[in-house]
Amino acid sequence: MTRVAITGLGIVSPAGLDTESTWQTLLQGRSTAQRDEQLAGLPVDISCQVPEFDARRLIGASAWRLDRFTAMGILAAREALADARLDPRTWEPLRVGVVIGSGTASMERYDREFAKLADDRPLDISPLAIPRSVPNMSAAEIGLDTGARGPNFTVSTACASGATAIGTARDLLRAGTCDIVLAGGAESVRHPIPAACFHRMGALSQRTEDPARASRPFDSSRDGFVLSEGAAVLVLERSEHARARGRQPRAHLAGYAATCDAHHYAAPHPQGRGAAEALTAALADAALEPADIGHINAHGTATRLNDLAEARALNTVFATPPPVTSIKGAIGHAIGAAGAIEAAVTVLTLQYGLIPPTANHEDTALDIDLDIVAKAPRTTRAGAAVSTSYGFGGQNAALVFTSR
Amino acid sequence: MATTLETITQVLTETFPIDAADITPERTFEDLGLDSLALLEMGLAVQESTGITLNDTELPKTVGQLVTLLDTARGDTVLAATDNTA
Repeated sequence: MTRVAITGLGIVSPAGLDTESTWQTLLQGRSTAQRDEQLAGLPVDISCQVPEFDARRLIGASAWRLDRFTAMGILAAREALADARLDPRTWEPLRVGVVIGSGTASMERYDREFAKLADDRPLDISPLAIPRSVPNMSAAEIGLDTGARGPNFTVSTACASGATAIGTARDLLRAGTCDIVLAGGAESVRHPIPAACFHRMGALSQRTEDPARASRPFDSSRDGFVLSEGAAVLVLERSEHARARGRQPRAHLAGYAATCDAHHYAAPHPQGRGAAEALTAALADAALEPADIGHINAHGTATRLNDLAEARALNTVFATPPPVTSIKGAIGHAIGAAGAIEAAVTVLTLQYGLIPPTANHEDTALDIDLDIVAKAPRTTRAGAAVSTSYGFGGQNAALVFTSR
Repeated sequence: MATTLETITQVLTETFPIDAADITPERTFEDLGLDSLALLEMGLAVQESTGITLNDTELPKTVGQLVTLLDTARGDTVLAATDNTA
């Protein structure tokens, strides 16, 4: 069977504009949540924001036609390619795919264009309204930017999109369709509609008076997630292909599985049934036993329902679940990008032997029987770790990474 | 008050990856890297900045033609205003 190497990483997050700065901020266990001017006047007006994201300076000539989520995806893809030492001038372009997860695409664009309609100016609608904003552009623009001409598409499984993209990319490598796939997620949902909607659903933390303490994954006092944004791209490569060009992988993607709760359109199955099934299937796919897994990078949104269902799923699959962290305490919930950022961080944990702490985690909820890494990074000798992502609609994805 | 060329230069450099030094009356928008959709977008940006609506089917090819078009439209507006007050 084709082995899949991770040869490059790129991250754009509220914790930093690249992988290294994101990793260092996460190790500090510090939350990045703050007041958000774009959400002013809403009951919940806080978010985690990518700092100083000036697309014109960071991306260059194409920036004028890129909406924010697409531009972040391009920046992450460029970093991942550089990290993998891949040169688009020498690769076989038709053997390079791009699969990106996006949950909502670009709501900011529709805002501007709807305003023109409301003002009875339909002829002023931008001819680029659709090419800028639709979900497939997060993948298409990366193809355009890098010259990757193989299969190119966006997947959408809400909050699991980034993980689903990575798993789907793995399938393209296993099927022999591609040698390399740039896979990840890109999202920017700092917009009043999702902010108001998630608030009405009861999914957002209401600790607006103290943003930095708002997102508290697995804590007894958790009350919801904090909206976020960002992108991450992983270079997935057939192991032999990486070896042939002398690249040492950061880690391997050994297993992947996806399931659906088929239980409720928004709430997770209360016992985490689909989540447990995804975990079990991903372990089987990797030919590993639960005891082989040394760390879980959890979905850990900090909503009452998710964290409890997730804990139950982990306790169903693992006799004693290994140490768990959720980086959403630090960088909030970037919806379609979250799974990709967390996958990249799981790779870093395996590589550096460090589990970043769950920011704001003080007191594990009584009904959550997990070993949550908090306060400080914990060293680990884990050779295998899992990153899990669960989306509204009950769409679940589990990725198993191994260091060798 | 800014000249029409200065206004256009500001719109082009703020909206597109174009250097002010490259914007001269004889340059075509195609030379400046604008494709047909970008040209429509440029029309919207000019409209937003000047209040003058450009006809999509008669967009100018060069910067100089755009200057003339805007100056003519402004002249018409001034004349119309004068007529109204007359």
